[in-house]
Amino acid sequence: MQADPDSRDSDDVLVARFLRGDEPAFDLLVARHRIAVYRLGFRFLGSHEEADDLAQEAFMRAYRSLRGFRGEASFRTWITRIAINLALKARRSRRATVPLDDAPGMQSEAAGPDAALKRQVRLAVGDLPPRQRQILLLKVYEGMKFTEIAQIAGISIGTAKATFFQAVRSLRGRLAPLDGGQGEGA
Amino acid sequence: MPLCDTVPDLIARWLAGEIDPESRRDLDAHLAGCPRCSAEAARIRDALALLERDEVPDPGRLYWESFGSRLRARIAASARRRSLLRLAAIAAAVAVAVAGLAVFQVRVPTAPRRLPDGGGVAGPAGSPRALPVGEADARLDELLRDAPAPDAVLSDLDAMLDEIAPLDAPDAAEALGRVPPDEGHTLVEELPDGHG
Repeated sequence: MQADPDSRDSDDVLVARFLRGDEPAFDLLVARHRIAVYRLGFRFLGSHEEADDLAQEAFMRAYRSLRGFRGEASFRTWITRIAINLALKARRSRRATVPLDDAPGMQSEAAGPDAALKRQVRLAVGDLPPRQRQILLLKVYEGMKFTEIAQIAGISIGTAKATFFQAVRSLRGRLAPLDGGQGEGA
Repeated sequence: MPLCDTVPDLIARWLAGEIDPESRRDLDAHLAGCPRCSAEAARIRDALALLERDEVPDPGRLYWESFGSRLRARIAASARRRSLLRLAAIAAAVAVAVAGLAVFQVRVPTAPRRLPDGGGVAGPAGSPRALPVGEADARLDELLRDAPAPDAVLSDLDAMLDEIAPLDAPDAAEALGRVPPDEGHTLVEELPDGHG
């Protein structure tokens, strides 16, 4: 049975239903959040296969751990945190660092006015330290507020902001101007 | 007017939506007068805008339709693996416990314990206690008096005797027969038929 992600129950209600033994409530949560989790996995890891594996693993862990979920953060924040940790672990376990731009799924735009800059941006983002990349992607891709980012990353709000600022400064050093100007070191 | 070195921080705060109005005015004023900082701010702004617009390829309807069932299969497989691991762990723990008990039984010596009042040496821990002579005789008399018949099965008598002086106690004989040397007693002299 396909779960209807448009169910009117909030995530908190669905979690409570699941904890009372309502298994389809978990399917509704999955249907509601799977696209975001898959997208995050793809942006971190760069391929459909890895994004699929990450999304499946994240929801499986959520299923097993939901009884310990204390509700201090939203379900979205919690599942995103699981997915981020899985992504960081997957990247660490890679023997050779594969630049995000060279990953199979990312070679999609060979032409276009923004192609060169897009490639440069992806490379620059891929070169960032893991924590900076994580927070930059959550802020820019997911549009999250710093309070939520701090919860996901397990850091203070001040640290989340400071890390974002560091990421922007690092990007500035990595992005050579396309107009022929000189880029500066980070 | 901020220096060029402080502009990157202001740009980051601006992009994060965290800049206060006064700092925003300072930043705008500097960018208006500094082509280099203005170009850098535009570059970073455009880069982040590109990231925002960067779409992830859609894997398709069939993928999403199968997502839930594949997840359920994964959960079930994981639960089966964990059950097997749990059983294996229990079996291993039992095997270790049994092996440990066996080793313990072989290695621990059964050292005799000394009874109070010079009464001799007690049997090994857990085995019937060997009694002093006087007490053993009294106990035996009591048991024989209460015995069902003179022709009671020998094994019953053996059991009664084992209660008083177990044959497996290492110093059972000594426990029964310890006689203070100054009394000059010998067991032979105590026999009821008066020999000695």
